[in-house]
Amino acid sequence: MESVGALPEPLRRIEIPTDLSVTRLVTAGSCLLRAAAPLESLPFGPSGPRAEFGKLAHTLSELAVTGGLGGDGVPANVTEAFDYLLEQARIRLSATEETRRYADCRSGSPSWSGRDAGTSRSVAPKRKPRSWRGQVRGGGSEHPARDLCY
Amino acid sequence: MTEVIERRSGRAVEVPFASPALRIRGRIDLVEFGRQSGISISDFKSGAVTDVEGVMNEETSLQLLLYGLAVAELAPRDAINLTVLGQGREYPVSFQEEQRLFIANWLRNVTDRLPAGCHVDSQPLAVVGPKCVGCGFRPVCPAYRDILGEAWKRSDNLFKLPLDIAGTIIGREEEGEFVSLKMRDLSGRTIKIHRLQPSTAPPSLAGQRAWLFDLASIETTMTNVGWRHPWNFYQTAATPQERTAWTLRVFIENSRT
Repeated sequence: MESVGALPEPLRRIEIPTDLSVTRLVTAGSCLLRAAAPLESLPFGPSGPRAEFGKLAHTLSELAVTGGLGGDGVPANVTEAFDYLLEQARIRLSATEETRRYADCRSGSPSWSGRDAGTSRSVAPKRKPRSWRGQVRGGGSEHPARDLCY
Repeated sequence: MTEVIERRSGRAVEVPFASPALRIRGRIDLVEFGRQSGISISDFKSGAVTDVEGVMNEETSLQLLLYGLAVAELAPRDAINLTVLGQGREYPVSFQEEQRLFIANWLRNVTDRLPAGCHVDSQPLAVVGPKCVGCGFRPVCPAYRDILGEAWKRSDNLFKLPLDIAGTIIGREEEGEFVSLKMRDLSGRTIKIHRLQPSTAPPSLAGQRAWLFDLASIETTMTNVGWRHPWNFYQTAATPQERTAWTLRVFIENSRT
C-alpha cells in the first residue's frame, strides 16, 4: 500500500477562532498561525512511538493518581500496569499497517534507555558523526562539536 | 470545571475548561482540593520538564500559568497551587501577583493580535523559526514553504531547520528491503534519501516533484557560521542508536499547486 498523498494547498486565509487552545498557544512560540490555524487543515500523519509513549505514560500517571490501578483489568502494581498498558498499545497499533512498525512504542523512543515509568529525560545521547556508503558529495559533517540531529 | 470547583472536594482528572473572557480553553490533567490550601492544579509530563540547568521549560510554565489564570477567573478568592508532575518528582510553579500580571499581559498580547471571528491572511501570522521543528502545519504553511529554496542553499541559517526536503526525484534505487531516492531539491542541490520503506517511495514517485516532511539525518549540520541543511537523509534507522523517521509524510506536488 502506498502512503503517498497529494501536497495540500497552502493555507491562504483562516478564520480566527473565538477560543484558543492553551496547549497550542504555548507550543506556538511567536507563530500565531500555529496557534490559530484550524485543526482540520492539519495534514494527517502517523503519530509515532514518542507520542504513543507519552500517551501511555500520561494514562499511567492518571490511573496512579486517581486510584484507578487495580480496576477495569489494570493491574494494581505500577510496573505490571505499565506492561499492561504497553500490551494494550501494541494490540491497538498492530491493527494498521501505518502504525504496526512502532507497535512496541518503547523501541521507537531514542531515549528509551534512560526512561522508566516515572523518570525520563529527553536529552539525546551525543554521537560522533559517521560517514556511510552511498552518501552524496558534500554531505560530510563540517563541525563535530555538536550533533543537532533530532 | 465549574462543577469541580463547586464541589470543593476530592480530585478530578482530565477536567475541560473554557474561558470566554480570556478566550482560552483546555483540559487540566488533575484538579485537587485539600492537598494544600486552596485548589491544586497539576499537569503530567512524560518528557523533560527542565533544561540541563534545572530551569523549567518555558512552554510548561506558560501552560501552567494559563491554567492558573483560567481557574482564578472561576474561583477568584481561592489560593491556586500549580504543579508539574514529571521525571519522578513534583515541580511547583509560582502563581503570585507578579506571575498573574505577567501571564495576563502575555495572553492579552496574543489575543489582541488574533481578533475572534476575523478572516485574515495566514502568511503574516506565520513566523518561520526554531518552533517549526515539531509543527504539524509545515506542509500547509505558506511562509515555511516559501523560504525553503533559499534557506537550503545557505550554511549560515540562524536556527536548525526541520528535516524536510522537497524537489524533483531524479533517481530511485531499490536496495534490498529499502528504496533510496536521489533528488534535485528546491535550492538546486542534489541530495539523497536512504533506507525508505517501499510504501513511502513507490516507483510512481520517479520524475515527480515530491515533498518529504520529518525525515532523519545523522549529518552534523551546525557549522561555525550557522545551520546548514543536510545532503543526506534517511527514514529507517541503521542502528538501534539512530532515530527512525516514524512520522515521515510524503506528498506529490501537482503541477497546479
